[in-house]
Amino acid sequence: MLVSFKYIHGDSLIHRLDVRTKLFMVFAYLVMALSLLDMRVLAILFVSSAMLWPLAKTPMKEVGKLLIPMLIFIAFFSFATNAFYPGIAGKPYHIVYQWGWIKISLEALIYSATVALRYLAIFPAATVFIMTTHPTKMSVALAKLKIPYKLAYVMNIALRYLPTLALDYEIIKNAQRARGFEMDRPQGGLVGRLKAALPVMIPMVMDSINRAELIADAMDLRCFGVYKDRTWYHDLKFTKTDYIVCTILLIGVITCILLRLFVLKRLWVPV
Amino acid sequence: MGKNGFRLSTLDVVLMGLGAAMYAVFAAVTYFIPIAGMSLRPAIAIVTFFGAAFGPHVGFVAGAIGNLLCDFTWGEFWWEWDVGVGIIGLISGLWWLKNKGNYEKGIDYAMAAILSVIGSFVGCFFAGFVDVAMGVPFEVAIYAWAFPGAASDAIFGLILTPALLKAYQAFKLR
Repeated sequence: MLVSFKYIHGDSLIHRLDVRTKLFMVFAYLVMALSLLDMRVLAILFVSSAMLWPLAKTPMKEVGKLLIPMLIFIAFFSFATNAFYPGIAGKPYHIVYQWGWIKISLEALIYSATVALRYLAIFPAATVFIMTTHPTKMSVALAKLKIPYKLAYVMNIALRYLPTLALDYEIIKNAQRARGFEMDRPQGGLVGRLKAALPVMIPMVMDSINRAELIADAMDLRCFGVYKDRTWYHDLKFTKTDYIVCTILLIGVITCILLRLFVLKRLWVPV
Repeated sequence: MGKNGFRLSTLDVVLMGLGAAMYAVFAAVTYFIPIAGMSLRPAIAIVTFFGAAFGPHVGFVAGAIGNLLCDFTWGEFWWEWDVGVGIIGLISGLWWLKNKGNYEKGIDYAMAAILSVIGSFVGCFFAGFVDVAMGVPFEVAIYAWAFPGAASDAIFGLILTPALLKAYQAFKLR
């Protein structure tokens, strides 16, 4: 499950988009989803976001494996956080269930479902971004957005080594299991459970520090950081498709903000 | 960190990147285990360790980018929590300014553990109060998000940070 979200080489419409366009796409979906409190519009947003999966030729088996636990988690998280606070969506509210001091209002339930739908609307755009963006091009895009290139490199390294470290985690865990460590049901309460994490954490951290020294040496040998500015092997260029996609997204963002300001000012309650 | 002021070394850049990736990997393991309105995050020990062993700047960036990466992988974006996790790494690394990552005495380990606890509370409450300022009800932002997050992170930091530092000292001597 850990290595599911990684760059997958391909030649889809989304793969061919400029990385800055894809970054803007995720940002636009975030703004659109977070600006709305209306399940009808959020549902439309989710459908449009989910359309990105087939457009990016994403392996649906990989997505499906994560979508179900994600749905359960989002539902639990949204309801546990919001449903027990009757006035969360403002006043007036209508109590539908009361047991002692626990009060659940219809508005709080709708609000919880709306928040869950918000997460769902952003999820496909974010996963498509990760799965279609090569880490090297990510750092070029960040540098072109005037972010200091050393920081852009941090992001590049993090994205590049995420799948490698996830694989290392599985290998170390299985190796420790083979040596007889109880990884799944450790004894000794909370402290015992935390200590059970150390046989995986310590080798992985030390191995990573070792690896960091090797990578840093290799980068120093290639004069990394000697000059204030640097050039890049890959170049990014905006195409006609990028302009079209950005325009559509911009129209979507402006529409959602205007809807929130003038039409859908409050939570939509379907009664 | 050079004599003539702050300068990010190549090793710092690589450690920030690997620290962020490692935090994201460990956070993903416990992502689906809820604690109040948050996920359980023993991964926070990675951030506190990187801060304590390599400096507050490494801790801050590893924490902030690691959390951003974790959010991003699951289709979320909570910038205030990204900064909050960065603050945890930053505060955990304050003792590094004094001992430059040499953990030899008991006081060094005690300070690393104490600072990771303080960092957990400051970082999580920073994020919680930003949430309140952005319109999230106080009860939800503080009682359901910030406090459980800070308390669990503090426990993880308190137990796991000295253990990781001890292992790192032994690793350095090899």
